Amino acid sequence: MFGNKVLELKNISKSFGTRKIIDKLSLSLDQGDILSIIGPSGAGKTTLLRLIAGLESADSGKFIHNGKEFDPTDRNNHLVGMVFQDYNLFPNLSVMDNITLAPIMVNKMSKAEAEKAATPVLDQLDLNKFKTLYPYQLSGGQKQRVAIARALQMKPEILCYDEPTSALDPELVGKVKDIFLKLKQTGMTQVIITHDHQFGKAVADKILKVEPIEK
Amino acid sequence: MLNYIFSILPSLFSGAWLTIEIFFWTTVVSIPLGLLVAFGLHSKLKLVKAILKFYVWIIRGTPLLLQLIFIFYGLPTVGIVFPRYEAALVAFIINYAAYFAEIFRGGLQAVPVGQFEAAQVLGLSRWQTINRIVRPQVVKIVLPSIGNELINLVKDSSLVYVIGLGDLLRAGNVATARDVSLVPLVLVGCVYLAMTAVLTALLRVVEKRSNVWK
Ligand SMILES: Nc1ncnc2c1ncn2[C@@H]1O[C@H](COP(=O)(O)OP(=O)(O)O)[C@@H](O)[C@H]1O
Ligand SMILES: [Mg+2]
Repeated sequence: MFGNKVLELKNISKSFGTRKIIDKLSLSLDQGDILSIIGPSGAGKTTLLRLIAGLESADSGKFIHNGKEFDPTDRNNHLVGMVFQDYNLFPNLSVMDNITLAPIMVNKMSKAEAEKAATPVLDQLDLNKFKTLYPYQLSGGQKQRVAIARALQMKPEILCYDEPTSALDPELVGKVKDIFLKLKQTGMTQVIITHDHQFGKAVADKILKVEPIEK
Repeated sequence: MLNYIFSILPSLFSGAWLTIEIFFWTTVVSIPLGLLVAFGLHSKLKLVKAILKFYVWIIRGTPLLLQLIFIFYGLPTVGIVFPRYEAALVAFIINYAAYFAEIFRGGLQAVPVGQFEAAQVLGLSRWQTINRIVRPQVVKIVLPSIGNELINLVKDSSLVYVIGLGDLLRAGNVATARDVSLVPLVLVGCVYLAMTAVLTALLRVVEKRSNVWK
């Protein structure tokens, strides 16, 4: 739909100690693609996401963005956003402050600018009435939407989700699916880990099946 | 009776003032020092870590009374002389910093790794992460333990008695011995109770303010 290769992985490998978790993995995502990573527990799905988000460093291989190699572990590129499995919201900050912290601290926006910029996202994700609450006052689904809003405020080109549907009630699964599809239309490239084949197939343009590596 | 009470109050209050001074200086120096030691206990430098661990182990494993006597009566035998008041402050600060360090270390460990990771992916620097995410969470976690230690400190300050400082306890004891009366010691107890009550109330206010989030 948009045509440019937002993310390519070339021969990425990762071991923990002597255990190989990811072996020479290559993949390529166009802008707006949704990639579902499907596989059993322990297959290395989270590790792959953490490599893309720069929370682990790869032992070998290359990450390429629009044809240029980049280092995901560099804090100064904001290419990748992450929605963690248990959201990792900041418990000491209100919903609004969770969302505006990085724009204020990292992008040096004023508080007023950052809050203004957050408003459309809060509206879109149905969070407006929660913006003064703290994370402990929210349900799982609400927390997840705050985590999505927080990641979006740093304008990533790629958004990763670790098992976004596993903790949700069935009726909420449809709602996040709508969010993924809406973000896709804005050109967001998304990587989604799921256990749920049905769900993975329903939203994904590409599917990556991973299995634990036998030693 | 009332006249007697009023006659000894000035000396009790001047003793209480010394107690408050020791409390104040120990608190304002040993809390930041304890925080530094706590960071040092997480240091990647093995030697720094080992030395700090040893320090905390010695201090927490021996009585404060011994440390006080060691510094005031012991160190002069090897040529290191502190005046009484300074000796007391040094002993209390070294002692309390070790306890605070342990409390902060536990607090730092209690902040989930996911908090650091979320901040990292958002592009926050280490300092921004510490300042906006970690520090507020650690403060909340350690507040009750710090409060307990501060209340202990009010009472522990009476140990300066052994190095001859004129604190609240000494003031009361002197009056009791001189006048052969229980009243001064009862009053001393009342003044300690008043001080710990005020402190407890203050701590409760601070804790309440930190309770807007969980
Ligand atoms: N930091 C780490 N150190 C050592 N082993 C790890 C680490 N992170 C993950 N692993 C191991 O790597 C394997 C893959 O884990 P993970 O990527 O979490 O799998 P998945 O998300 O597919 O369930 C697991 O066996 C896990 O124990
Ligand atoms: Mg996982």
